[in-house]
Amino acid sequence: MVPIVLLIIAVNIVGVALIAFLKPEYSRKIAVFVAAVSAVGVVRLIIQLAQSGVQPGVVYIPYLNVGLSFGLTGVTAVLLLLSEIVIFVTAASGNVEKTGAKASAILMTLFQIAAVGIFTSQNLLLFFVFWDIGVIAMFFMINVLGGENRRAASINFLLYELFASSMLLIAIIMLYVYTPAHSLNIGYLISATGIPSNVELAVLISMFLAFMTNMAVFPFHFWLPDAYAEASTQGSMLLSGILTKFGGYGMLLMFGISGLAIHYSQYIAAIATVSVIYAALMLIRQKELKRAASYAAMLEMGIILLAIAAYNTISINGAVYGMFAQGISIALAFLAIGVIKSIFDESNIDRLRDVLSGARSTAYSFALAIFSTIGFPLTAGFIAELLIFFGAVQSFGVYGLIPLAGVLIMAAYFYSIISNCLLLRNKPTRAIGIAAGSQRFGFYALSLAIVALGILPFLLLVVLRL
Amino acid sequence: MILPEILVFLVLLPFVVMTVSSCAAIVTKSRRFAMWGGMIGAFLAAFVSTIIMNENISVSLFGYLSVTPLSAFFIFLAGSAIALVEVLAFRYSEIFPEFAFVLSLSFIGMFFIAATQSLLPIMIGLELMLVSTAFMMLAHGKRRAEAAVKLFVFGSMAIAIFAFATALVFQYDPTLSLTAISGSAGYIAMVALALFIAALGFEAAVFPFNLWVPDVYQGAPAFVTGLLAGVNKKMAFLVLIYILFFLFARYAPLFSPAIEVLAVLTMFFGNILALKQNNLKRLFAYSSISQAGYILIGIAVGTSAGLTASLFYIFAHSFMIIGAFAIIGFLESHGINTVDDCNSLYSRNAFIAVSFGIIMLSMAGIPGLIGFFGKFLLFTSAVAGHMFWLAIAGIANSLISIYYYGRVMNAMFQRKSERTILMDKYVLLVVLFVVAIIFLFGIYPQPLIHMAQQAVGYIPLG
Repeated sequence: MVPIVLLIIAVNIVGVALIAFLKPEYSRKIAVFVAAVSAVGVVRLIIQLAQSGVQPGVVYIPYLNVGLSFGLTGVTAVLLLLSEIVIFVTAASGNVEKTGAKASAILMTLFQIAAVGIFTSQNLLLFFVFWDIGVIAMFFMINVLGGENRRAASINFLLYELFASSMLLIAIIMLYVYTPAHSLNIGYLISATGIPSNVELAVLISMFLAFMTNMAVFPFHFWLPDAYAEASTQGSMLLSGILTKFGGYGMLLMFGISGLAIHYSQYIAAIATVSVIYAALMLIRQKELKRAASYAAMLEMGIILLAIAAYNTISINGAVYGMFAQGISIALAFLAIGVIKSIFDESNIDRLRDVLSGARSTAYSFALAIFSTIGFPLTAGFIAELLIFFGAVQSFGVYGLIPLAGVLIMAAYFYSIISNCLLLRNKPTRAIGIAAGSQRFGFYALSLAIVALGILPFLLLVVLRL
Repeated sequence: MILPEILVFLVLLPFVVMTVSSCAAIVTKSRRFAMWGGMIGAFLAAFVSTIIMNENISVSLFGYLSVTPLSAFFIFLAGSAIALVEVLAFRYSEIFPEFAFVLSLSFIGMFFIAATQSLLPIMIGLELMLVSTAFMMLAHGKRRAEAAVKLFVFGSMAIAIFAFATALVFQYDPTLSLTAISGSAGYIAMVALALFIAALGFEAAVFPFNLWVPDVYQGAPAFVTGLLAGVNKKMAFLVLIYILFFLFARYAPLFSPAIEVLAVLTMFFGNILALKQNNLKRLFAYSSISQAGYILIGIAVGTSAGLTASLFYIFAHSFMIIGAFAIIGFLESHGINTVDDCNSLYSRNAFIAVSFGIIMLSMAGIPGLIGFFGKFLLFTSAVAGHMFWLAIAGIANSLISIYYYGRVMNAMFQRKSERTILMDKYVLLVVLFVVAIIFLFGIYPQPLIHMAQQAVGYIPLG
């Protein structure tokens, strides 16, 4: 398993170098090619996982007792698959804003290294290294390619995310110093005993702060609306589709590593509920499509945190399924919004009218993405929310259903967006362009995934159970 | 296996090569000759010290000096850093042969400090470094006079304090050797300890003694600033290690809290004042002050792990700051002096912008770059040494530093195409070397950790 992961990373590094030194015309082609190769590598990894299991790594930094060990579990296989799909579609559908082709291809490829590294590394130090690489790549994605207020938004994003990684670093250092074997191996940490209880509590708190900041849960979400709204379309797709899943995966790890976490699951669930309601209330005040979608993403992450806090088999499956479903549907939503913006030069909900006749495929994709986000039957989001709320009720009783109120508020607002912006025919907004073929490819690929997983959930659950 | 006699010869050879070649170059007025002599000397020194570190042996010279792996670590650092400074000076200095001569004197001073067995060579070394650095500043334009005088006055004062402290220690050990003074030494020893810390605080730019730093860094030409921040300051840390862990080894419970407080104050002082700086040189002056605070973390912890981390970070920061000042000097020669001037640097010269970004991210401690492992080792050693708050302060400071590095990066990566800046091949060489080091040890730190570990093996700990 180690050689394949290293091979994927090496291919990506070569890709970055090639993009940097060749002309901008080739940037996108190379990025797509590298993403395709990585996707093949990931599929190979998952097949290997089905046949064998985690294998021991090779020595890397003996002084710190850190080895280069990579491995997959069912959960990480799903998340890895998600990131490959989103990155491939992001690369293939191209740069909607048509600026900085080179920079976006380089940063996307760097981000791919981070994603592959995070979901496969079996060592917390490597996890951290890849985590920060992802954050930095994303920072530049916003800073270099973003919209009007990108400077403030990117610095804000960087400060929040590095606060998260500082917290994670504290947790990692404490685990390293206080575990009897001085090892950061994830497999070891999950079974390790003998950590003093106050240290364990400190580890739990700092890890929770780190991952909740990354997931954009209520008091630590302030980076999210600006970052999503100011990032380029590709940036928003990667941010919402993959970056917040780092935190989701981290939360799952946290529950695995720290036995204490389960004692506090009610409080975590309460925070998640507050976050969901808050996001819903913020959502209905948004007049800008991208900002609305970003609060929807925040709301979904709150629901996923609820599922993780419930921590039973159904809800964990639901959380992972939810991360997958939310990742592809919100990425599709951002892609569609980016295309709408470029076709109509307008993204204000009050002024945007009759998208359906101006841009048919874009409108359908946007609607599908929205349906999946609010959990409409026959879409992937439905299965996810079904599992999540079954799990939540199992652990927290009827209180687990409170966040459904938030989902309902979101659904109502999005129905009004669909009926006003997509369908309403008086004073139609004039289209000044059409969706490019590559963007339509992105629509079809993600829509297909959403519908397929809505009808045939076992496709993903098979991987999840590995 | 190389015979010790040959090693003695080899250890001294670089200095002979450097001094003689630069003297000859002054006479013949040949810049190239001085350059090649200096480069060969510096690389020879680095090469010999790798042999010494690799074989893990020590070479005694005339009974006064002795080159151990600990010295070799610093000679290696100084040699490779001086090679970089030499390249930059070759590009920017009008009187390069003279500069090379003075630089070789400075290198001899560093060698004295690195290889010392007693307190006297340290003083000689500090003097040599100080006088030659002040000359280097003075020799490059009239505007530098203020910086040079400031450095000279403060440096002389530090050496005077150092001499006074040495005199106080004299009564315990007339040979002034670097062996632990006895436990019953009493309050005079404590005064001496405090004076030593103060003197080295001046040299290493530690908090209450660092007010000269921004002015001097700003006034000096960038390549001299690189030398000052990258090598001279690091030698002061070596002297601090000698004083604390050789001479005052039995006073660890006494000085450890003091160094801890100094570390925290230095970090916060540097970082908080850096937040509002607009001039690039001042910004990096304050940033290097805060980095000195990080290095102190490992010294405050005082365990083998802590000192290993400190040495690692000394190495890392030395190259990062030389690279940073190489870039700043290059930008200065194109009229870019402040953060605002950096606007859209990326579209003017992508290579400089990207490497400047990499150096700053490394200083901020982003993984995959050398600064991260340095900080990780430091914080880990602090937590393991039960100095939890020191680690927290360090992490908090990394977070603060992101803000001002982020400001510079924010300015650099704006899309406004102005006229491009042509790359200079000497600066390119230096920056490429620094970036290569940053990535090499950032991705695979084990060799450097091993080197530092071996050097720390020669520090008598508990």
